[in-house]
Amino acid sequence: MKEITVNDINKAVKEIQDKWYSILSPNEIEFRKPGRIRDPIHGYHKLSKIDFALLDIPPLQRLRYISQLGFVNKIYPGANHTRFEHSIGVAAVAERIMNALSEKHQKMEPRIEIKRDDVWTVKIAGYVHDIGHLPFSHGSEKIFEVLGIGKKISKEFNLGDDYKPHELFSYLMTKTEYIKEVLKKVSDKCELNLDAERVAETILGRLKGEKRYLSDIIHSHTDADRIDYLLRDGYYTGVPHGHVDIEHLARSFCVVKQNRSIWLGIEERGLEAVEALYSSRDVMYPTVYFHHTNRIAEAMLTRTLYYAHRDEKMDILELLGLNDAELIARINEIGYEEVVNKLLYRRLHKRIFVIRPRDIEYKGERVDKLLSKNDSEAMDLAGEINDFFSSWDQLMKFEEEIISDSNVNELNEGGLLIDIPSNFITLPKTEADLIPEDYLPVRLRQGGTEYIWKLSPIIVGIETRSKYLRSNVIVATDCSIKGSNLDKIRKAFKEKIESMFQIKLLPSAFFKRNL
Amino acid sequence: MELNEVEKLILKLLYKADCKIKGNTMFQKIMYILKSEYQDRIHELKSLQFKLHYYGPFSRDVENMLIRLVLRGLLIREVEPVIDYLRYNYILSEKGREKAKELYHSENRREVIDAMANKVRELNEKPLQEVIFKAYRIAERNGL
Repeated sequence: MKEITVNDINKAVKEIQDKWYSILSPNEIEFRKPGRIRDPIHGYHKLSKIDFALLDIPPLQRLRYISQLGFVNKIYPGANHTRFEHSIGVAAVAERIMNALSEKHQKMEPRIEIKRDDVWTVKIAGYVHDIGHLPFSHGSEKIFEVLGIGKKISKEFNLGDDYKPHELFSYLMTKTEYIKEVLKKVSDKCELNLDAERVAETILGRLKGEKRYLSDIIHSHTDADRIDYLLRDGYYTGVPHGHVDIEHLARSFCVVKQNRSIWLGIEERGLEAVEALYSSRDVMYPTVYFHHTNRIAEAMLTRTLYYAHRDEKMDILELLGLNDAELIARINEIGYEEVVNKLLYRRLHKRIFVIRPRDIEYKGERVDKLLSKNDSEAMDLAGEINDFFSSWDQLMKFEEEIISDSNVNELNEGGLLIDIPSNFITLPKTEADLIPEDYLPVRLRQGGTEYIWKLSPIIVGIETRSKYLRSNVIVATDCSIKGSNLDKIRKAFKEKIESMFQIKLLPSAFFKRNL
Repeated sequence: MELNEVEKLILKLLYKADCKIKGNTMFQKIMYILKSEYQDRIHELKSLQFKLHYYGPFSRDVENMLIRLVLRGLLIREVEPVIDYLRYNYILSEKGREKAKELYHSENRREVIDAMANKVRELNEKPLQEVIFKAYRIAERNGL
């Protein structure tokens, strides 16, 4: 299989940049008079001539045709919003946060001054933070993780190990000559001094020193991105997840100094607003983002893209320049019309197993119970299972073997999929698992800072329970397979996995549809 | 599954240091300090990528490796209440000790490993805040 190199990625980004130039040269950017737009989440929102000029550029206009939630509209029909309005929302929330910080820290230490250049750097980062998103958003991102592309970019630019592929693509695209020219034009016209490199660093939360907090606004664990997408996704899906007081939340941010850097923090009085945000996320993740239908659709697309790349029918880096419709057309063109029809017409694979750690028996006892007793053999088993399925090649081979073993003529390549989260079986989480670096520091009323979970049992509860209890493996097959053929596939899977790991699948692991 | 080079290094260090690492945060900061001081001599440290946070440099890979080593039965983690919060301490299990011993004795950079292990022991004995600040200052100096 063709290996993707950093040179390939740079070449692909350059080709996309060429397309941008052909659509709208930076010299042709117009500065319309200020106006307003209406947004369902943020209401009437003022836009300046700079905002309008930036929103006109092709990388942002492309986001109008990238669905925010990928295949979630198969579950929640209203979820048709796009990355475009989300990006506008992030810039709007970021501006609110900066206004609140400016006002607060005129008198509160440390004193800060958010200059015009800073404001626009952060807003522009808000606008472009998702330009690297692929068609169907996270729906097609997995293939890049499988091919290790994110890690290659991180290593090449020494960026740290915690970024998703789309974030890294946004970073690379922001550093192109095209964006540099756009920002130069804006700077010249509006007496600013904007720097594309600085915007790129802001997208990844990497500004340094006394301006660090500015990039935290765009990239941290309680940032403008999360605030906007939780509110927006909740609205468009219709999932009621409690009220997030965005105004109070924006005003609860503060900055805290650590040695030579100034970081974003939360004031103690804003704790309840942050708890509401965490609570929202806790509802949205299992009901929307990790809903089984979405997981299945994404897994179907990932496999199709994997086969296309493996068989050299498509250069996977093409996805960087495509939108949802263009990707569908492309995979149709290269001979996967059957999958296209299944995705478009909701003929998705159906579950035959849903396996949680509590559905697996080992040495005569449930695995989750053994792990809670720190049983060393159960821990070893967990490690083995996690490690085995962390390898994409092993997973693909496993699926192929079950397809072969089941001896069902109608079951072809891609007809069975196993969707397994990373670290599927993990130890029960306690407060000791909470990593300080995953949370903003809380500035106490009496001075000093504290870890957020020491002040909030709600956040401890949310963070320690949900991932552990809801982690499950989905095994799904083509929806046309029915009756005794389904039984053959179930038997093949059960026998293989039980013999491989010396476990037993309990009846609760079997999934039967209500028809 | 095979241990990666950094996981093997962690086992060797804990074997020679012969101490109980006091918490995830301590472990992260120790690994960063070791990386900044020894990566030219211990090449596997170069692959570790850290990001600077308010509480100092952090690596998701290091976090995942610790979990893997626990799940593979090579490390034991014990919960300890510390004043007003809970912390995991990490120590080699019997199985981990045997594996680490085997790895250490086939190691040809023992002098450097020993020096690193002394550093681990020394840092682990210090108050956590002191180690966090030390790692933080090094990270700022390194332009992280």
